Amino acid sequence: MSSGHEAEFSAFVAARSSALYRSAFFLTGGDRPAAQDLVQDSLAAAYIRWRSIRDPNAHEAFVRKIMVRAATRRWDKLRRTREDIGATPPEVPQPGHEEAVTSTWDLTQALSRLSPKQRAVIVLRYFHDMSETQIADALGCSTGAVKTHASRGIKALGLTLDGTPYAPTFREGP
Amino acid sequence: MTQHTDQWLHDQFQAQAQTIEPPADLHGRSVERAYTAKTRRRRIQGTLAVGVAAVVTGAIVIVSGSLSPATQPTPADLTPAPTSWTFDLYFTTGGGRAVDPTAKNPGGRWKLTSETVTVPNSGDQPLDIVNALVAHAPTVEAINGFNFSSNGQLPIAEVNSVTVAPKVITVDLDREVWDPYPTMDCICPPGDAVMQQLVWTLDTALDIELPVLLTINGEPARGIWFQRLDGPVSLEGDQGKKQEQSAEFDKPGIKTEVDPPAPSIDFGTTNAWFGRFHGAHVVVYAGDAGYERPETGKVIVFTYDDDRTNRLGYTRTVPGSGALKIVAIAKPIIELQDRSGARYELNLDTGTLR
Repeated sequence: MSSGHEAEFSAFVAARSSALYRSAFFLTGGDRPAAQDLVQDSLAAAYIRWRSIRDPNAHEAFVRKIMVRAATRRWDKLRRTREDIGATPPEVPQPGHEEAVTSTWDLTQALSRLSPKQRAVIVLRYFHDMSETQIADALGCSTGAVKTHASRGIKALGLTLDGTPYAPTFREGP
Repeated sequence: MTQHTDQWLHDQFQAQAQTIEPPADLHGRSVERAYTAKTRRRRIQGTLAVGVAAVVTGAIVIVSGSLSPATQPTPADLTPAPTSWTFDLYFTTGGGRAVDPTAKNPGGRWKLTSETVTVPNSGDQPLDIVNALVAHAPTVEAINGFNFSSNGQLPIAEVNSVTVAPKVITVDLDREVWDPYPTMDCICPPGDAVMQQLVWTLDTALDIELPVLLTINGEPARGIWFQRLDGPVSLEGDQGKKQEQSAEFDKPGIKTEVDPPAPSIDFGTTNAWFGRFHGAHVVVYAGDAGYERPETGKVIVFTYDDDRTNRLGYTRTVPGSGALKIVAIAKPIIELQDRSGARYELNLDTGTLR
């Protein structure tokens, strides 16, 4: 890789690693060491292909896609392990209104209860404000699957209102 | 209510994000890991040791003003870039009657098999990967759809560029790979499997799952080896077997999109030999299957001009046991042997066989 690309990569890491870490933090359900590993591994994977990405504006989306897919693979394995040993799921809060939710509900803890793909969809949807189409592209799945993961994820977060299943809304695609 | 909760969740994320403090050394460690990723991956995989020599520390150019002093990587953070890449190339194996003579698909089951190679690091790993694929001759009995056979190293095309974008990898070749044997009436190897060689090689080497778009000098390729392409091609086969570095394809090697239509024949085990003859590239084919009349052996000789765009082809048929083996090439004589042990000599200069 030329020095120009290395400088570009280093500048990108300097500028965006904190933002990527926050995404990784949510994607790993609040596991800080895992989030750091996820960021570093994703940047390392992106680095070897850096020169081939001609559009500088595509760098972050490219790294994020690597990160999301790595997170879903890695944490899916951990989740299965957890299920295999029969762990009891933690208590899920049932908010009756937003104020009550705010006072008792911890976002990170709630995210940690989701499946990896549910968590990824929720993070991309509500943290990155991505459209259904963009999320589907990032995860490499259909928009229907995104809707399913979102709906189930929201439900698993405990965000049902008055017993009515919550249906997340998506803005139109890009 | 829905919109309200959407906004509430959004606000929760933003508020929580403000409380997340990244590790202080995140930037330096990220850069360091990026520079050493290939080395570490190889160590973990237990493949080949990586030669590390070129020191890139001094080559790192910090964009002036874009980094604060506190976040700039120090020389101690940086480690040398690898001087070579190690990855797996995928080739097509199987097919033909020998695999499963009772199968409905006479072409049998085509499989991909891999070989690990190490190539110099030009600084463009995707390009290095595809260049290696088109140039490498597998050591096992396999077909490399990007150079004519397992025995030769005559690429069917040069690689212009390999571009990795967020949604697709684009491989641009300098010439069409639709019909490498336009004058012969035998069937071609399976274009879909050959295309998968490219997809599996790139996706595995780059550790990513992206479709591959094949283009010829910037224009989408119509296909490869009679297999029409309609845009990017994704990884096929059982992805669960990816770690086993093997994928199977049920599709036969027989394609009907040949003009004029090819006779219904099989493509079998073949060996091609390459050489230079009177200023032209020469490709010689012989085998015991894949011919219209399998009871008759056939030798097929193609000549190409220097830029391999104009092709001439002719065949010589040898009555007999139906199998021919090329024993030697001593230009202009190709020495052949059939199953009975009988020897033949094909004179490329005169076209005579004796």
